[in-house]
Amino acid sequence: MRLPANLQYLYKSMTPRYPKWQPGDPKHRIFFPQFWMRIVRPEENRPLRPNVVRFECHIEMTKNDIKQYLEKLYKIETLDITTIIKQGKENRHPVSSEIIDPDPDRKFAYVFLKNETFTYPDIWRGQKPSDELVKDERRMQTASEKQKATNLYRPGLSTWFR
Amino acid sequence: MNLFQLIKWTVHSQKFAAIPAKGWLGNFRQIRWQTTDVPPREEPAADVSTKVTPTKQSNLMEFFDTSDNTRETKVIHGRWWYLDELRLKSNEDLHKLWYVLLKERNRLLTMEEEYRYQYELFPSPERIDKVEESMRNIMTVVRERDIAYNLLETGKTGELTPQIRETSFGLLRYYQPKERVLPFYKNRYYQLLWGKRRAASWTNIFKRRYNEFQEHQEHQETNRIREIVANVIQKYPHLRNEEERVMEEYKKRFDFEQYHIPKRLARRPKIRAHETVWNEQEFIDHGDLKDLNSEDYERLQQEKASRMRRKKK
Repeated sequence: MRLPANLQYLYKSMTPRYPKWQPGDPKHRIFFPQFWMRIVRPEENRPLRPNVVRFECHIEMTKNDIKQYLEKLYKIETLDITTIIKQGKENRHPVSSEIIDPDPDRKFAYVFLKNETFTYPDIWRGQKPSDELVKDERRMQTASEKQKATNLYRPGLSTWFR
Repeated sequence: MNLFQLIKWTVHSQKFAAIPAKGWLGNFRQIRWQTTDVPPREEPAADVSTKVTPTKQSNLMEFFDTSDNTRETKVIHGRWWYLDELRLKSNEDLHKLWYVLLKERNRLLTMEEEYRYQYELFPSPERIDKVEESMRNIMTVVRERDIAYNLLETGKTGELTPQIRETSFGLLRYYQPKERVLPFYKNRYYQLLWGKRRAASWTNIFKRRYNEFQEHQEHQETNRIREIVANVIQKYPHLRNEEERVMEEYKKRFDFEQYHIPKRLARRPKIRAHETVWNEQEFIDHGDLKDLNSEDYERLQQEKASRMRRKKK
């Protein structure tokens, strides 16, 4: 959904333009970068090499931006970076076939690490928040089954006969 | 919070249970900082010196939330930074705080994605909003300072504010000032659109007609709204002193949504003047003003009709 600029998330909104080239080619430094990156799992049936990490990042980030971002903020050395923009899904109206509420395009970056390997860590350590819920559900189910067994519909028998 | 967890891992709780808090605050210096982000899976041993895992995993772990909050449905967190607090901070502090928030946001975004991947509910997603809010506040504070500095130095704010300018075709157009590669006197396309050239006087009639058309449309719209407002005031007479305000409200509203009277309302009869309540006190006393929009209006009408039929018989 499109929102006005003051309500939109910063990480979804556009960043200010870079300044134009000037004679002497001075290097520009960004003091308050609005870019974001996040690590995502590799795609299904597309295993990555051990030194490669898949990132999703702000769509306006260039390869050089990503490199600088990782080097300066996170102290991660990179060999190489490849990026790809995945087009968002066009959700179409079933009848009028016009595009309604399309998903935004997303940029993914594959970062090749230097002298390092990465596997997606197991932050759950064998336990998930839904496990307890599942246990509770099972407990409820067994209880309800017992209840049902007592309250079976048996025609011809009166209710006091149990 | 993190510090307490650290102590929990490193100090054997049963062994030092009897010692009061002051006692092991003295040992605080002896605990080495843990260099890994992931706590060890096995139970911490009794000896403090063997407690610390020495290998540093990687800086990529800064993207992940490695605390024990992953299994909780609610994460305790604070509020965002207010503008008044940030105004007291120096530029350097703001610069540092920005990067803290940036890393926190990245971490939250990765965790959100991970939870989505595992079909789990992300606990307290308003954390992202709060981080965003404080980042936005930092930006506004920096902008304020920039404007103040520019005003002192140059007498101008230095903001690139969009404006409405007249083009060379004589029509008004939205203009966003921005940096250009060429200077404006060399830029052919800029000169064609925004330059000094103006249309000849024989085009005045077209301009005039264009303006007239637009004014006519506005006039039509206001008239439409005025009609609606008159109906509203007839129905709710206590608003009759605030007609201008109601007009403004309706204008605001009809800028966004197209007004279309549904047929079930349009077919209904208008209230005549003698049916309305003119006094506010009377309105309150009377209580049951005939509401055309009520759900049982049709039922009441039918009852009335049946009553009339009975009378005739």
